[in-house]
Amino acid sequence: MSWHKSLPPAEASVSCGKGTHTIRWEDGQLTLSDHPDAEAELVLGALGGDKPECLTLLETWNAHTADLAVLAVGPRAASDRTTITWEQLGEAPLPPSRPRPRPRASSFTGGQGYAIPSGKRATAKTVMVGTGAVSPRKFLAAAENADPELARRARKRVELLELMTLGPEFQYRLSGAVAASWAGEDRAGERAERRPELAAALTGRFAPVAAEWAGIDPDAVTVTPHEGPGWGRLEVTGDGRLAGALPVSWLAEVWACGLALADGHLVVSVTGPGHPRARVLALPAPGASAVPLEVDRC
Amino acid sequence: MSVEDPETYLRRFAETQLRRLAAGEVTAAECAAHVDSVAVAFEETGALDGQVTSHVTEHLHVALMARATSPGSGPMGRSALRGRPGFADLFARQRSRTQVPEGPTGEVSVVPATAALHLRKDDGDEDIYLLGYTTVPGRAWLSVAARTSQPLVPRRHASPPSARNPRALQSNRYRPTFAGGGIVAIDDTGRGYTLGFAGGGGDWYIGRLTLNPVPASGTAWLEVRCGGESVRLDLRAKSPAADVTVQSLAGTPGENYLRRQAESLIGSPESAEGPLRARATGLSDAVPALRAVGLLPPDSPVPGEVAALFESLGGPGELIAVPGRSPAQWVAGRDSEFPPQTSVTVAAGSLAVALPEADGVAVHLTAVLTRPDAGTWIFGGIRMTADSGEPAFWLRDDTNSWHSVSVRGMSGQGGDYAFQAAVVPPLTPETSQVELHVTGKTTEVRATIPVRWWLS
Repeated sequence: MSWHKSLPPAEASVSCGKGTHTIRWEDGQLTLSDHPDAEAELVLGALGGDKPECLTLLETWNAHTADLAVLAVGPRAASDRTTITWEQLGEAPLPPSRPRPRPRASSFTGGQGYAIPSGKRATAKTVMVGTGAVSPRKFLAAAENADPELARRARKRVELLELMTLGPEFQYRLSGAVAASWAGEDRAGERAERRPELAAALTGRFAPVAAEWAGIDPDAVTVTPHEGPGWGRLEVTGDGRLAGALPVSWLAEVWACGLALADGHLVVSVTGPGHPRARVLALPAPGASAVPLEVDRC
Repeated sequence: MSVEDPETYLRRFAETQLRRLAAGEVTAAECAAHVDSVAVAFEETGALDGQVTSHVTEHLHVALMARATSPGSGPMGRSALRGRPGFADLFARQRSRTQVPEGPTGEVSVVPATAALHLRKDDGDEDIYLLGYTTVPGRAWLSVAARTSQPLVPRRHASPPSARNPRALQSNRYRPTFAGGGIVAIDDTGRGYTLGFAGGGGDWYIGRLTLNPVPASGTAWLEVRCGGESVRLDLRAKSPAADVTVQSLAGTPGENYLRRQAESLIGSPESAEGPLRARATGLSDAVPALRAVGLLPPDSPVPGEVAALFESLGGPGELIAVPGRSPAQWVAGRDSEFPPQTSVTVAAGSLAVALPEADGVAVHLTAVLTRPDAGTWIFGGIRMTADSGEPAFWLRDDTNSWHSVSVRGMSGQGGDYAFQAAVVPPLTPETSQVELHVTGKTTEVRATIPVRWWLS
């Protein structure tokens, strides 16, 4: 699945050791340009050597690229901002073998900006909100004296939050990776078992798009995973409700790439992925047939 | 009407709440509370397993943290959404702490006791009513109510001096009760026992006296001694048989859940405006959720009945449904907690009965006590063998009048708990029998129990 071709590369700066390193996402992969032999460093780390924070972040990222919890925690729309900062995350007492990088500022390359689903641009900095945030340290502190299962769950929470501190451009890319990993034909059986989570992930992200596209009350939108050929279906009922079925791949190919709305059309699938130009199939209005469209984000 | 999958409904509901949070329509705490309300309703009705709801709410909490807002526990914690914290919470906490997966085993035995000790002392009189004898494996206790003539102990710090807590005697705030902690017992074999009090009090101490060591089975009698007085209890005494029936609840799981929620409010000291609003808000989330998953018929009168109860208690029932008419028993129990009963003196009766287990809960009663200043109390115990939620108790007397039963004190461990409960309106010594209703998640146990008043 080449969903990621519709996204430009993205970069962020993180602290690693005594310096600041760059992490880069490109073609669906997270890479560490300051660690050219990351694999060897990972082996050393596994053997008990020091593991740079960048590598820990890479491991965390890769551990969650098929984790549906990312879709439960991550952003749904431009108006839904995950604002947690590294400062709020605090210095959680993870085991010493798992140091974490400290994200600095994220930056964009390879384009004019990253179009998030509403069509607005993402800002590069995260916003620190409120003074009453609960530090994940509390979770781990509680887990220290508890059973391994509790500690595992606490660590997973902290890892998810760490990934969220990377900012929206990385959050959307990670969400896209998760959706793409679940979209394959070979995972139809697993999708059936996780249908409620996938239905919620689709509904939560499609509803704000439907509201912007056709003024439909987002609370009146329900979307289920579509299986089989075609892009799915969307039906607006007499009482103003919108019921639809979209493939899980819509989350990766369309939503995560900021292609959900194009020229007043609702994009239901991508026929030619690319950035800045992509070819899509889109609905001009509820009840209308899908038409091919070329989207140019220059 | 199509029926929605409960997990899908809950997850979509969480999406709706997150959207409302992003729009600034709710706070993080409210967002969490709304989702918790539906999660609890689905758990309590068996629509979803607790692991599934925990999974959903845990992800929601992480999502709220990612938005740099503290979810807190909402206006009410999940436990409070289930009703007043009680046996089920205590059981769950203890089971979690000890990691013991099983509940208690062995036989529960209740024996009526009909004895009183009247202590006349220079520093005040005491009347100690021994109301029942209960044994469970590893423990035995006497249900007790004791009246003192010169109360000095604050109600909220009610532990009286005892052998287990002799330092209480050193405080001037505590006037010696149970003759200064000197209450002991001896059995028919000459074996001695100390008695430790647990319970609450003010003018009265109400609770239980735990025997240490545990009397052997087959013990014929106990002689209880205190302040130079003594009284003998026949441990082989029998009560008249109770007529017991066990039947499945007639309503749907959703209706039964709403009724349990309503009944937990009756006689509750927590029926203040704030908690009532939070509970009503929670039920306003639960009612459409239960309808959507097919556990509450669209034309069910129960939401309206519950709404009417909330209205009568001063809460916003209209959030739940258009208020209808509450059942007669709810009306009987909701009005006053302890209407004064100046026409009677202290009256005590035996109610000894052990009911069969249903929905993981087995209840036993030992006695009833009516006080002129504080209404009627019943004494008993409960055995929990599963995380089955709080049962609701009701009494109907021989004139067909309903009485609410609200647990006001409990103690115990490992699934066996003793309790004292307030009965509103009070029972008078003219009552010759009561019908006890114990309602669990799916089953109701009814017992028609003769009341043998031995003091009135």
